[in-house]
Amino acid sequence: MLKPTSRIQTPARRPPPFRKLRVYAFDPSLNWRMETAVINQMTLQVPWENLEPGPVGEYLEVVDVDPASACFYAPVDLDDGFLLAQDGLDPAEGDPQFHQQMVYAVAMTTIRNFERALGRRVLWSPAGEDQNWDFVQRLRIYPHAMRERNAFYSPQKKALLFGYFPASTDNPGNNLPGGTVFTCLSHDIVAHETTHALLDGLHRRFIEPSNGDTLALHEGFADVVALFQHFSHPAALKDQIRRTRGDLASQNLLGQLAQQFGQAIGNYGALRDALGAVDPETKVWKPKEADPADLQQAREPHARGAILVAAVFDAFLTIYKSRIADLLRIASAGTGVLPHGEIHPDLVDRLAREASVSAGHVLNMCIRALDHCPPVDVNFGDYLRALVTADRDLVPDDDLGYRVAVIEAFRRRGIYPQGVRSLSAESLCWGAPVGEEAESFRSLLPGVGSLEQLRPDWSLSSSRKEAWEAMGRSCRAVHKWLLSDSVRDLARHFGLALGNDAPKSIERNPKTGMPKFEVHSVRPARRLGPDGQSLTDLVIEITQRRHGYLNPDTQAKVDSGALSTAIPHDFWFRGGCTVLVDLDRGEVRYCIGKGITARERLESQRGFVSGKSDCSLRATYFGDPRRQEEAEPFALLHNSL
Amino acid sequence: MPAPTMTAPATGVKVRMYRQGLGDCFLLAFPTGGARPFYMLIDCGVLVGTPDAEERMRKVAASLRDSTGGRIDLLVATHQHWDHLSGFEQAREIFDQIEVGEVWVAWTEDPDDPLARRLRARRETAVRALWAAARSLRMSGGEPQAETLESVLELFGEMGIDGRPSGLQRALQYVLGRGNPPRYRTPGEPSLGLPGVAGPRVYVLGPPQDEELLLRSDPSRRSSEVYERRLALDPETAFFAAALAAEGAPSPGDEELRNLSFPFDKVYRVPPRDAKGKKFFQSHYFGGKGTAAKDITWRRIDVAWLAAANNLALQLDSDTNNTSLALAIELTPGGKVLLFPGDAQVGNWRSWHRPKPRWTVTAADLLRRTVLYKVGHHGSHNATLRKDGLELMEHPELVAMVPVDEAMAHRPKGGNPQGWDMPFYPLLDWLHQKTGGRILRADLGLPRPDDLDRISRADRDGFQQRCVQTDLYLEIAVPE
Repeated sequence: MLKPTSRIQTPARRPPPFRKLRVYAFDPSLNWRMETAVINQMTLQVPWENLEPGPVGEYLEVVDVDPASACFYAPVDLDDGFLLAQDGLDPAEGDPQFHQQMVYAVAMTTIRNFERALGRRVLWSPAGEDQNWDFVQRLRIYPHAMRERNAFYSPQKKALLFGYFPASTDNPGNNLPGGTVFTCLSHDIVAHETTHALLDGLHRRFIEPSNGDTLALHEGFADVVALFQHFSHPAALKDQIRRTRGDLASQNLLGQLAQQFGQAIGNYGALRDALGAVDPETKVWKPKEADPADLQQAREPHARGAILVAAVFDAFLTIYKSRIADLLRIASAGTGVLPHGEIHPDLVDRLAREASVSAGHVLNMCIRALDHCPPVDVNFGDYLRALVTADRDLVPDDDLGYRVAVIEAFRRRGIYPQGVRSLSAESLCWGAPVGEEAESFRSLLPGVGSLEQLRPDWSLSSSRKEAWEAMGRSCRAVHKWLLSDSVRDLARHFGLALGNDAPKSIERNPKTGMPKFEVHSVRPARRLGPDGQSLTDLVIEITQRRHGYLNPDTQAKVDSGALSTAIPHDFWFRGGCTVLVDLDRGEVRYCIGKGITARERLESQRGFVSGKSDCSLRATYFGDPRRQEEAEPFALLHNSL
Repeated sequence: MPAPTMTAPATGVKVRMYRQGLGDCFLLAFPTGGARPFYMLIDCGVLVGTPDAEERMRKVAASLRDSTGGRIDLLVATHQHWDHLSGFEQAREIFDQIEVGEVWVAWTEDPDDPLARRLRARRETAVRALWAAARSLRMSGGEPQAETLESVLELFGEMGIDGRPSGLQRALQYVLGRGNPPRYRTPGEPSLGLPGVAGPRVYVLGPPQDEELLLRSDPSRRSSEVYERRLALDPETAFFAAALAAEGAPSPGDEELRNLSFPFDKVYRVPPRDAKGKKFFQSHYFGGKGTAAKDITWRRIDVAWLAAANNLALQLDSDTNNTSLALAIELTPGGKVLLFPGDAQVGNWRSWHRPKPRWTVTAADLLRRTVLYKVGHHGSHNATLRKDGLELMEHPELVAMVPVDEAMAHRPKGGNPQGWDMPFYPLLDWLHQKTGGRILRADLGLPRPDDLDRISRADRDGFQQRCVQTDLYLEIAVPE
């Protein structure tokens, strides 16, 4: 009998690079307005992976439980042939399976942006506590977790929880009165929350408010990612550029658009308040003048985060402006002033593409900076230095002036690092150790050969589980090496106190009585060498913690051992450092430390913890969140969005 | 032998603050020219959880009976919170022995006022739903969260079982029943005299008859008349409906609301029973035998949605405080003023400054002449407006009375080890500056001489002579 299929040779097919999925470009409310309905859909290309229903993939698992409604929603199977053939389900508010598809697609896009910028696999923050860390393969997403105007990342459950709520009947905005508003259908909210999780995966101490900037950085950074991820899709920009014919002289357009993205969703909008506002009299949107004093006055994390967003946005505008100057001249016969009427569609395309490319650059810069941040107690100044250093490591020559644009923008918003001589790019970069310090590092570091063994394979083709296990081995190796007697003493260069003479308030190992410390992570970072070859640095993060007391006398007594650490502390004081090691030369390139014994820092954290500026009714009844180890730090921050 | 009655000064008034704990109870004695003074009682309650609460309140009530010779001429209940009304339930049989002249409550208690009715219906649903949420939290092992939530809900007293009225409702019903009929006071009504007392005029400052100011935060709750009786679906009611349903046995009205509140059509909803049988939910949510090797239950979110109850409880508390009947008592025309704001919050305070066409004075004027301020909400931050409030009180003789029990407030409340932040220390500092140290705290007693360092020796002596301290109360005479 003839078996046709066995005879015909079919060439082996490789999986496609991308899976295309449709999502709302903004949120469903824009579908109700004629002018925005047409642009409210976009198709995202997410890296192809085999998916189980859920979707459940390598990074994410979407589990659709709705406990408030006491029900579950069946998981969508994106590998279903019908769905593959039409780029996933049609955008629809009323179908929970589309919601599952959208959170998956947007979160995967954010993950891909991180992996591209960092050149390595991303990991979620591990589960468990105190040295017993478990690998968390997938971030869990609950698209309908709560009946609340809220959405947050839960560091405890390693999950994103999205809420939904009925639009109010009297003031529904763009929504249907009484209809349900789903936070999981807003592109920006999903990207924002995913970013919190990604940032926590890199720096799990950044969720501890030890100064006014840490949570603000979390919020601001998450919003920067959401914003520029949005801008890197040219489709969203094109329509605006065309309709306003690119009101490019004042550059209002992008700022206004950025703010619109965040509006109607409360606190997320607040993060963009520093960009500008509609003048109540003329009803025209105006950018807000940068005022360095704003940072001094802003206390609340969103208000401070908004300043970071505005600073990064300013830098973006400068970059964008310089990139389109030639286009404008070409289109206007050299004058740079566009004629009246519609602008040429080709020009619209080119402008949108330049905006999208600029956004992509800024996004990459901001993400890459994370490897150059201290592991604890980070502030905006540190972040600026990290931005500049990281960019210099990858793009040694700043001929397009990106770094200058960033520094200028931060300066105008009042963000200066402490203890630098000038605001030039050179002095803002973290300094390489010199002289005696460099010598001691050289003698400290194990031989290049054993360092080489720490070189991890985190390339984008590697397995994330293996990368995580390899990191565990490296962490243990570094830990052991720091325990050796010759190293203990020199560890002070790292901002650590490992010797027996360390203040007694530093947590001890119950067995040996010696100060405890934790090697947080050992991971690779890409860098471009002077002749253009790609090099790998090793990023090592080491942290320690110390019992902190509001009363300086108590602190002194516990430090000296006159009082035992058994008396309850008021806060944890953390110190540590991020060490970047040049693997090829066996040299410490940067040591970005926050000294565990630094008196000034301890005092400033004390001031921050005791300064009770939170006077809400919540603080009256439930205590000041800063005095407690908040179970869900982001739940409160994002409350009522 | 019964205790002697409370006397009134020759002119002005004597104000007595009872020291029953965290709660308000103020007795005022005005001279009448006749044999007995005119007695006015403002609130009588103590926080749930106070040790020996009933005994304490009986002692207070007995003192009220004896000090007034068995007749309270004017009884004022400021708002529906247990720490202001519990005495009328806990010591009812003693109050039964007291004759009551008039009863004043805020217009928000008026059964015939449509807005008041709507506010009350909403509040009752909220209290019921939030108690249900607390019980659900407790059942699922979230005791600390439940206790923190309950500590706020206990301001509404214990819940009634099976639809019977709660202790708080019974207390208020009792107070209303003692008036024949009770007077529902509205802000801006012409100033009121006290029968038989020459001089004093009472100005009703709040609560505002404006939903926006009352429920300061969310304009969405301005429901149309259609929803006067029935609750409309909004972010909060959707939560309430779910919380009540989680407990089982919701009322038909609750059930209707719940059906409205489902986000998706019925065809999409998989009930828990069916989901438990599905492999996907077993291996990605429930965990357990034969699924994943590792325990995955720590990632479940069965009660995460109940965390919203905390915010709603705060909202509820704040909204209720805002319905406080706020009174300014002017001793003589253009003369000194006593300020009793209940637990009024910002929205209530702000509304005082709205134009009052039937008054010859302004609220700012009254605040400027205030010589005795009953500090709102036990000295918390939120109940004393600074600008347009405390800052206007510039009378050199200003005295502050703070009905607070710091130890009780600071007791750990479940997940909040520091307890409540009452009194708020920065507020005490401002009060200290404003009063020169003349602060009477229920828990601490009269100020010590070195607290009074900012006033002259003569003023200090005069002040101390006007004060009386016993274990049961603090008293101060305010001359005209």
